[in-house]
Amino acid sequence: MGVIEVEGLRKRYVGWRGKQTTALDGLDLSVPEGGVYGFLGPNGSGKTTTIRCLLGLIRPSAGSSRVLGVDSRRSLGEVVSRVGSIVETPRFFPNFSGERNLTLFAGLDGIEPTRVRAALETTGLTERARDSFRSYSLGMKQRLGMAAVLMKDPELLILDEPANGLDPAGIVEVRELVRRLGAEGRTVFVSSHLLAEVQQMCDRVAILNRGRCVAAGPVDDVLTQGGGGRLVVRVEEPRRAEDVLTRAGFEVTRDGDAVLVTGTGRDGAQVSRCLAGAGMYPWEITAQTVDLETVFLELTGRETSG
Amino acid sequence: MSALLAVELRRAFSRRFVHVLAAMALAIIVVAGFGVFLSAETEAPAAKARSELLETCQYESDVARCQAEVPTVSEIESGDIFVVSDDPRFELTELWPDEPGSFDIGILPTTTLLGFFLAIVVGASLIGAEYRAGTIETLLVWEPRRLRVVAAKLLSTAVVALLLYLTFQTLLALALLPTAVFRGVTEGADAAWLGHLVVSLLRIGAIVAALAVVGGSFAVITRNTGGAIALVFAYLIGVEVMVQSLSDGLNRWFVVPNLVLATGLIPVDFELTRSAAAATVLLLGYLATLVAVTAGLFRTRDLG
Repeated sequence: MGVIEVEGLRKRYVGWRGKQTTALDGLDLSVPEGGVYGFLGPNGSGKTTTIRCLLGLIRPSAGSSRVLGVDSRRSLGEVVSRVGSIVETPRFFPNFSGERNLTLFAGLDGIEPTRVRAALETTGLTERARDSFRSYSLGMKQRLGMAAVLMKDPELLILDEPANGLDPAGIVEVRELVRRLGAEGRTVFVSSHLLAEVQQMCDRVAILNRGRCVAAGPVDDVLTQGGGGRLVVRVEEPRRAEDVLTRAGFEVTRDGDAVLVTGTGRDGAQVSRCLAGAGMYPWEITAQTVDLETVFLELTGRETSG
Repeated sequence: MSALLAVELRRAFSRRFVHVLAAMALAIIVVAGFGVFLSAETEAPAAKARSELLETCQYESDVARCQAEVPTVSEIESGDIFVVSDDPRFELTELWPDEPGSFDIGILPTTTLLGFFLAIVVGASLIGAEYRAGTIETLLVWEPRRLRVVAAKLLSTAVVALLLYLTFQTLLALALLPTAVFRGVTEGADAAWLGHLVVSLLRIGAIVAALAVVGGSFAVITRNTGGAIALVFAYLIGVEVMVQSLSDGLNRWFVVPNLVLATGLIPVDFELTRSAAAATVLLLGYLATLVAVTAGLFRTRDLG
């Protein structure tokens, strides 16, 4: 069983005039234990709504969710005590210093002051710990949010856009921190729109669109679902090469003088052997990999246009 | 629960709004203390009466004869000669006269009216600010038991309002004490009077705390400080007055008349529709209903 199990989760909002908006439309999701799990989706796809449902901030209209093996609606107290979370921009008491904010929340969970100081140090906030939260930049607020999560020493971290507002150096720090936490055996569930970051940071991803999961699994598998890359073949007679490869069962398209081999089963050696069998000797076979951004745009665009 | 309440209280007492309110109240108390001390009349009633009589002599043609006819202080004090004159000096018992229907003359009861108003504003502000800053959400991902959270929040507004009310009433009394001791009268301010004062302050302090809960509850319902204050005062000043003008019979069920009865600070011509105890029970019923509605909403409502 996964650390997060979501089945048929629906959330509908009803406006003043009875207008219904569907934020989640029967979402199914399974997040395995350990490692970093990326949660992707365009704006309004339901990422934050899912996180809010998991943390009991909003009530789903239908469906069920289990977090760390516990029903997150019935035993919310147990779930929250084992989960560290940031939902959108971290919000703390504006007149209190960063340290005082953390100390107050630490008091709720019986966390010792030494862990507060350690969390501040880990997130690089020690020097500004006594400044009021109001004076913090967005990046510093994110760091304080991370510090609050870390001092809790949770089994599961749910982070909603943790790199939001951070400068490039900050983004790298967060990436390294998240990877380290994942490598320690914790599960980090991270929603983000920074696809390159997610690709570098995550072991698995789920892509959400219009409140439904359109792709999920290890990053490599998801890349495959989106085409998984292609082979660019340059040969003397591209039209004949296209026919030969098509007859051999490859998925082939033409792009000018190049023959593009896509889909599963593409293998440079097999393509080369097949063409050689027909008396054609390609002078170039290049493997082009597809990044998460391409897959994301393809999957979410396909859903949207469909 | 105690940790949650401690967090709420620390947060409440760190609010800039509370600091500004406290600074303003302290400034007014200091000014009032000095002002009353410096401007206080020091003459005893008999001496004051003789001075007033002597002043009339200035307008007589035969000043010497007039002055000779004006009774001496000891003659006035002996009571042989009747002279009408109020004691102009500050009396300590003016702080809280030990008699019913004395709302118009007590100093602390008069400031209590301001306390009622501020309690609603403080209660609404303490909770409304949380919605504005979004910290309710942060709190709920640490303590998801919403009934506990809302109970701690409402309780903390009550405690803050009560402590502020009692502190400022005590400070105001202490600021006026030197005037009574050194330039005024402390007669009548015995242990019985002091006991009455303390009991009255605690009783009205409890009502102030309840009003802070009302302000806080409306802030939870409206998720907004301004909306909460507007709603409470629109009801108290607008709805009750308007409905009362349509039907006098409903008056005895309204909040304001029952609040007057429960405080015991009853104006002379006020209609006594029920006892103070019955009014208190009725108001507690209203408060319990409001808190139940607030808690129910807070428990079930989506955040974000």
